[in-house]
Amino acid sequence: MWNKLKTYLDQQANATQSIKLTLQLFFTFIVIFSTRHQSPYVYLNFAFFIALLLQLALVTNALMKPLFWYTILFFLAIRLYADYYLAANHLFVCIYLTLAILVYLHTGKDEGVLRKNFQIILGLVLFFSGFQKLISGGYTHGQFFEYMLYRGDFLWPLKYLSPHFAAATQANKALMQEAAQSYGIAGTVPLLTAPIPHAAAVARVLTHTSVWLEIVAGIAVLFSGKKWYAHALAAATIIGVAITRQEFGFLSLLTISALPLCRWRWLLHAYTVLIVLLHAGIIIRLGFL
Amino acid sequence: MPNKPTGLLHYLQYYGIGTLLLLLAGWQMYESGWRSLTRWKGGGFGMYAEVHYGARYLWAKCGAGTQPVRLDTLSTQASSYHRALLNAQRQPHIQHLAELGLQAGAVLGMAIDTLEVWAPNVATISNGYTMRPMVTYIPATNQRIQHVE
Repeated sequence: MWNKLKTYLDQQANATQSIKLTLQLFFTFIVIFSTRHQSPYVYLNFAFFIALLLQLALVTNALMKPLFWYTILFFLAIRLYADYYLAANHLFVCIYLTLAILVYLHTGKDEGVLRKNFQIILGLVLFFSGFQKLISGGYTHGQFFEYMLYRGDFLWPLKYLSPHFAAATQANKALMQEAAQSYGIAGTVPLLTAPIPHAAAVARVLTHTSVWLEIVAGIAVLFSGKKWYAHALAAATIIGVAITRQEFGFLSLLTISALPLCRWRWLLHAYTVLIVLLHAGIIIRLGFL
Repeated sequence: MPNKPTGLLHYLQYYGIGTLLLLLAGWQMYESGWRSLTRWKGGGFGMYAEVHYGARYLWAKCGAGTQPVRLDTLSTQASSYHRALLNAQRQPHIQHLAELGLQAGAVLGMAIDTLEVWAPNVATISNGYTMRPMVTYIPATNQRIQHVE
């Protein structure tokens, strides 16, 4: 038993298989993203799916053909061009990853090229998401997470575990909506119910943890993407964000970006399970896209 | 096995996408830091770095003595095209938001002299829920006043 486990833990990931798995899971994300994301471009969506499904049906190993990814890039680029300032950050990451796949396919399927591009994308995205929080006004004092906590948008599993948390956050949200109906701060200031004890302190600690974890994970991935500590930091960030916020879609993209950087087979499997859980969470609307 | 490219082509293959990401994220940080774009949008990956742009409210004032009107709640009074205009709180860029607010006001026959964007005041949340003005926009002089955070 232990020997089998040790053998499994020691097994190296096969680079070609990792990349194939990455493309499959990224394609799954694109499908979820395109079908769930609100888009006014019905005809464009329709044409896009006809083009993709035809290629999947008629072309052998379509996922490894540039045309397939050009179709995806075309669709994503049109949406980005039309709604640049409204587009979610997912769309930007999807485009970067699609470009990286195309570069890989056009360079004789050079695994090093794909790995390096995915590493840079993951590292920079993690770094920027931490850095943006660091330079944002009230964020570093923990006030923003505290506000999110009072709304029930932070530490979301507590909604299912604590009846007090669920009732308090629901009441707070209703008060906030009511307050927004009157101009400015006229009338009495509605007092909100603290959903957990020491909410301010909890929010402050988690704020600092989140900011520095994201920044350090970003730098670690950027400079040593295949090292165990880079994966440990990236995985801690992804799992931490999944527990506190419901950004399942974006987290899935980050995990997909980490797949080609896996040195061990068990890590590849662990990331795959995480991606599947996140995708399932999006489909049943437990988390956001 | 094709020959490995060198020089610029090699750089583009390995670092071209990263450079593009850096340029766009840098541009977004300029836009959000100096031109009021929300950190949530524009490819800078600043989600959850500030209050969601959907929690902002657009108030219009039409002269002294009149009650301010919240533009984004008038949606049911207008046609679908104008509803899109009136759904101003979804506009992440305050510049766009102001333009849409003015168009919406024109459609509704309102002579708007001041537009104000309000957002939740997260600094005082444990002492009660208040809103604070983020930006005041005066269309006649094209003046934009950014309130201190």
